[in-house]
Amino acid sequence: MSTPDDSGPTLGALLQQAHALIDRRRFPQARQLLATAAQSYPDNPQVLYLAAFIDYSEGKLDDAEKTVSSVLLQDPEHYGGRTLRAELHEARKQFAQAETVWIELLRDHPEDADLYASYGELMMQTLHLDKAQRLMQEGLRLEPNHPKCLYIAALIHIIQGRSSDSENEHLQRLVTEYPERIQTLLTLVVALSQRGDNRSALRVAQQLLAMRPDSPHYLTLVKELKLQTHWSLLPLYPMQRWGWGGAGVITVLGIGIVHAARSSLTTDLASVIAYIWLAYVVYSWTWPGILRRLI
Amino acid sequence: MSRLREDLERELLSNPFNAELRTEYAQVLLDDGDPEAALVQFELLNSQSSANAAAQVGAALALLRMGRDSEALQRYASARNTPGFVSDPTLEARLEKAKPASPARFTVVQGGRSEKVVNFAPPQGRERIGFADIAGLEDLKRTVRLQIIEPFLKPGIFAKFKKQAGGGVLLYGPPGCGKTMIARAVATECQAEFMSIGIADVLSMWIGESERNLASLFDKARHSKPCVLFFDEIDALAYSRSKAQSEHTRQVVNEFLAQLDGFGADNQGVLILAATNMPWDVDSAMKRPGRFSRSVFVPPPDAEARSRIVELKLAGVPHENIDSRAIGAATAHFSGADIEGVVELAKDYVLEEYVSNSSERPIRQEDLVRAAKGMQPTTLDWLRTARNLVKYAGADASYNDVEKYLKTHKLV
Repeated sequence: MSTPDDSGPTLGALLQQAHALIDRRRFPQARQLLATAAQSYPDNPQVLYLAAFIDYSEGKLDDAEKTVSSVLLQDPEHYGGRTLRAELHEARKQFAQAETVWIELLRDHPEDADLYASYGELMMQTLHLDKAQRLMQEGLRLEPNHPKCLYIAALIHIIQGRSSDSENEHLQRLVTEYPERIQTLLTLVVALSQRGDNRSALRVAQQLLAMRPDSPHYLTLVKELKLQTHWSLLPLYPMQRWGWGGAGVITVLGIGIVHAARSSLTTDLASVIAYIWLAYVVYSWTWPGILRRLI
Repeated sequence: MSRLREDLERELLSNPFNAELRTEYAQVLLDDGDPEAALVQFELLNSQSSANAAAQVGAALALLRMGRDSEALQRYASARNTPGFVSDPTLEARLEKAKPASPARFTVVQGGRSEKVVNFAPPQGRERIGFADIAGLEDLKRTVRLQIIEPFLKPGIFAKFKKQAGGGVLLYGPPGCGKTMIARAVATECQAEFMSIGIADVLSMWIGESERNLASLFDKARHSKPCVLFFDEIDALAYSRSKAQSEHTRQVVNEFLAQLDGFGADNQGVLILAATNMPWDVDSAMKRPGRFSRSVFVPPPDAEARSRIVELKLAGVPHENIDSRAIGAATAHFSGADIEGVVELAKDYVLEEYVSNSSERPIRQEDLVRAAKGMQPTTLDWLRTARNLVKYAGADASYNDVEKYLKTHKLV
């Protein structure tokens, strides 16, 4: 690799260091390093791509978009630039444009499991579950233990609500092959919550938060699960477990009991039961909100 | 009769925190001739509980079957310090064979230091900082003296009381609060040479030669006894492998662990310190016995330290009627760097006035108060993150001091 200035580090070394910093989420230092690299190599697509990737990771979508355009102007076939463009479209909810980019990329790289995973993830987000599933089958055919393909496949399985999670082969493989990966833990949280095992889901979510304590997403997840598992919400279990269905059954049951009490018990006793029922209704409407603020 | 691998996988899926089940599963994997998968499981057990001797021995056996003999022996040697350790005959025999024929080149006798034995070379051209130069933080100084300095200076007395004194110490806390200064002061108090490895040195290790660089670093430390080997921003070197995307990052951590374990056998006279702003990003394997098993929380400076920093920053600068104690009291949670920022801002106010009115005056109390009001302590972000960890994530005992600090300052 040629270097304009032989006394400094080579472009390869600078890029390697920038990659390492990005992998460790040390974005300001990586940005500084790339600025140094850009002084000697202002139009290098890889330098520009990494700068765009940092902007994207920090949520600066407009800046990332501008830099990606420069990358693709220099090198229209740049793999990283194209994948980042698709991800930028997804971040802006421009799903059709994102799909076009993924399809073009897959046409050029038909053996790339990463692309199947990314395209499948988009299909899953837009609830084209059958298509997502077929994409994952192809991705896993190419790379049987591809973590992202396993993760998406496991999530599709859960979303489709097919059978128990013990039969979710992809989740089993994720847990076996990549037990500590964030994606595995996230999938476990979803699977355990869906099964109604919120206590276990909370423990896994706490593990996630311990890995990324600065993540507002994981913090919300833990708070929500703490709320769900709080002892004072035990009387609301049917609603938590079965949602609106549970709420409907409880309402019908409550009204039925109050009616039955009025016709078969003394007025005083029927009034007590009616008040208890009323208190339960008020509690079910107000207490979860209050508790959420307290947690 | 051992259960089938598939059965165990299914059971683990329903109960991922059952250590007994996972140990059984890892053992089955090992017996089935799949040491790589077994190692993953043993490592997971180790990350869930740092004092799991069986998992550490299991990991050593898996490494041995993978042909990584030296790593296996280092792992086995470190497992010996863990409570509940049960020896393995194969590894014992290997370890016996691997013992060096000649004793270590340098020795530091227990209970004190022989200046004749140790070649002590104080660092040149750099001002040495001692505890006397650090204002306030008396509790921290006491902790550091008890946990770091005394065991290093008087290993004999600690050994007599069967108090663990080996291994490295991790200093953690918000940025700009003096972790590096504390490490430097520790070196002075220990009358040892100070070798600091910063992010720039770590960066150069990522260019394909990390193994050799790390080995030579530890070698240099061995030859500079007594020495404090300080890794600044340790999270850059020992970044959590479960979060890392690239294989290279994981390899660097493996190499660092191997070096630390190898070093553990011959570390008399060398104190390993590390500092980080992000302890949650440090690989959990780093916190096992023999590595960085002890952690010390370096909090933001207390009021006394803050007022002293104000005085230091104003030294040689025109000022009048400054009540540094009041400024110290008005800058709760400010880091040393933040207080420097306050003084700089106050200077800006005075200079701004001079430029507009051409009237020169010294810095006054109100300039500092105004500057302090106009600034937010940078430690708050860190403290909020630490609160998430302590309050919601069920943080382990290594964060007890943070919890205490947060409770004392009503931040949790």
